[in-house]
Amino acid sequence: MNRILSDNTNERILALGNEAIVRGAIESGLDVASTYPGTPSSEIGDVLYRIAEELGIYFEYSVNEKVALELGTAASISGLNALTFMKHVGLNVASDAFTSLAYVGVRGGHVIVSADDPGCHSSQNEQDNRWYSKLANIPLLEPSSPQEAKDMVISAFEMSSSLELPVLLRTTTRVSHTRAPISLGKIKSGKGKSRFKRKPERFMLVPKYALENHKWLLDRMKKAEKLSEESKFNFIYNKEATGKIGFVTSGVSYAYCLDVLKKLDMKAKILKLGMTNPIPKKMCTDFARDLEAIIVLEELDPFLENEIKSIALENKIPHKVYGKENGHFPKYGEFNTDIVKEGILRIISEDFPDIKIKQDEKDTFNVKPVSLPSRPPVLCPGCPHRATAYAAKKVSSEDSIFPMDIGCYTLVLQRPLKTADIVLCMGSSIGTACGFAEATDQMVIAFIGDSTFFHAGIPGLINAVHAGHKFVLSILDNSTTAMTGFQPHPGVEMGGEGRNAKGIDIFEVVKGCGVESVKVVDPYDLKKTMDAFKEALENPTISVVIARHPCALVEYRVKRRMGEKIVEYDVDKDTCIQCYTCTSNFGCPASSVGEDEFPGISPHLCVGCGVCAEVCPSGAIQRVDKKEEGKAHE
Amino acid sequence: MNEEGCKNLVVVGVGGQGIILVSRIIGEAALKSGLNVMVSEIHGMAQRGGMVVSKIRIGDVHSPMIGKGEADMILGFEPVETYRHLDMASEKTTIVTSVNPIYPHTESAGENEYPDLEGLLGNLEGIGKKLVRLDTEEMASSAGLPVIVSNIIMLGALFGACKNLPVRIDTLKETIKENVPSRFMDANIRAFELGFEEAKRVSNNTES
Repeated sequence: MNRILSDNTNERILALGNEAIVRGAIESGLDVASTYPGTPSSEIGDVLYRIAEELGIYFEYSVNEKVALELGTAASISGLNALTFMKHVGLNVASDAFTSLAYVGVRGGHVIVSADDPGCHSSQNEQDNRWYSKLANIPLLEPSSPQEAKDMVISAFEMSSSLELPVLLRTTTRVSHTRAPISLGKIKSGKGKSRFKRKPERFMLVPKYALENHKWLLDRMKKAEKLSEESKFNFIYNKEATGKIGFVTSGVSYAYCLDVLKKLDMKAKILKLGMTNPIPKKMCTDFARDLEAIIVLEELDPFLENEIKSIALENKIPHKVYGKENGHFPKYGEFNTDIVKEGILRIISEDFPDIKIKQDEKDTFNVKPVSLPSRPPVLCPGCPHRATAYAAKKVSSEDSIFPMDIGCYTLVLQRPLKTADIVLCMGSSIGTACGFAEATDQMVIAFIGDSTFFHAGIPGLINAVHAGHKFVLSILDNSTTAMTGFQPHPGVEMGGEGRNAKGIDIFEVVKGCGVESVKVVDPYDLKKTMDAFKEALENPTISVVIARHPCALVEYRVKRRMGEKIVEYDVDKDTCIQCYTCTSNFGCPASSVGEDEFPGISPHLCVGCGVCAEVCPSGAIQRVDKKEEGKAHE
Repeated sequence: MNEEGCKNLVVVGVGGQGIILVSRIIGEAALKSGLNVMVSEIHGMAQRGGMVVSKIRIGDVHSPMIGKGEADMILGFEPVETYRHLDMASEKTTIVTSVNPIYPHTESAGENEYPDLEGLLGNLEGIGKKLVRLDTEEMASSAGLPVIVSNIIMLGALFGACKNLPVRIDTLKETIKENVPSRFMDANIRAFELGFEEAKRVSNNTES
């Protein structure tokens, strides 16, 4: 049985922060869940995908975060409990709905999870989504551990229905991707279907009603402030400590604070804030009164720091506030115990030399410096994207521009292909291609994945056709959302709980957008793919090349499961002219140059796609069975 | 657990080596032993041959991060990755490393050369309290086990090299069984024992 469904409430299970969020939701009586996959939020969906049907929850991978949020909104104003979750940049996509959402409020409960990524572990930026809660007037909770993530989801649903407002839960990679013990409560079943009751003055945001609703919302946020003062997630740790310095912290920084203070043997009061919008002003004021200084520990922006400063000013408390604005802690990157410790030590040595702390004596070693090779992620062996990019590069001029999009295929940035020039966000390949087509006379070949095309590519394509921008768009159709863990997308015939869904044909969509020149090719057929790109480049208007082949990882797994033979390839050293096209220009991880200076193919890594054999100018790379046949004739 | 007890463990290697599974097994076994535990995984791009680092903290801890010089144990599945994370070692650290290199793709594309393996492994001598080097590929193949169980050999070696781990071997084996497909259960238990005995043998030799 899936451990996340355990009904043994005496048990504690080891759960990822993301799994804890799911558990919190199903203990709250979840009805409807929706998302678009994105790291570090993806496991929330991966778990729901497996358990939703059993619990009678409706779960879907929506086409994008905006639709996911709108779907959740409808469920919650119909009286149901909705969970909508996404990575931090996903909230940008959903922001149009998000910033008006609180004007209509909720009737059931609506919890929105934003999984932020300090340190850009797998993202294009490290924006701090706590600002969104201010922008949209939506209450904010920030968990510091998986257990707290679970508890906060439960409280968030309660708060949401009592305030009639959606609630934003902001996690970070280190909470979402940390496994820790969580305790279990009872799983509550949802309501199933509900009935929507009309109330246009509340739900129709026409100007007259919207202005009134804004007033209503501000009043709700006043009530939320009261909840914040009383919230169990806002508390003072080490209340009895009498030092001059106190700490204010939220999220995982609280955990770093505790570990570092223990290491330094430093006793100090800590104001741990779990509900950070609205901030509990009275609690902060009382906390600050008898202190000389406050150190604010938080990742990314000085969100709390500026709140604390403004509260101090308002209440004429003359203490010093240390944080990011004066450079004691960085505004970028992820925190860790070393960064927190260094910042605290600097403040103490500069301004509070009389405070006694335990100095660390643990020395690190003087490790002999060795230049170590970096190990960036690479496109997998047999990845069809490599073949597509190789074909496009072969037939285009040297100064061609390659606008890129969000997905595995950004990895063509690396040697040897280097066919990636700009990526901003989901769908940006097409919009930037429109611009390059007008701003330059260079060839433009844009790449976008299938899931990304559905998510944010279609309006850009319509724009290109309508305005007559001339470029080549290559849609990389591998039938899955590979980067985030193989979630389905609208192009495949599978939905959110593994149920049947209608697959949307990308070819028909492209045609429907008005593109006249559309070709579908299998990138494993390199020659045909190159011909398609050549033809597309010569075409006077926009052309689309759909490069269709299943993700190599998925295809390989399916083949192995079905017991299908994987075709092996090998380099025939008699025929090889050691031109190194395979290793230096194509660059599949399965091929490398051996000690004998001949390229070779690792049988452990090769998935038998055979594209390197097409790349080889001398015909030295051959299917192992063919080679043997050849030998037999000799 | 006292300050000297093993509680900060860093597991490093390359995507696909089974590091996340090993971390989860240790975490679940610690929880079963009634201990607090935190396991932090960074695995966004792991499937694509990138570096994987997992940090495990057992006992009275709050955060999942391990600072410089604070690792009680480093379990390295790949020599360069072991070396890359030595800043977390101190003179109290036990280092268990595989000697089997995985060449990064950047190397085969002609940049970023892989360092001389013997030299690299030689540099490890004298670092930490104890060093155990294992040729897991050779160990697996001479025992007739599939290479895929190398991660469990490493796990066994960790427990063979560290005497004061707060998790009992039986608990650990039980957790391994719960986390691997039933048809590979025996192979994994054998792999565990193989690593355990080898690390114990090497440790005893160094200490005598």
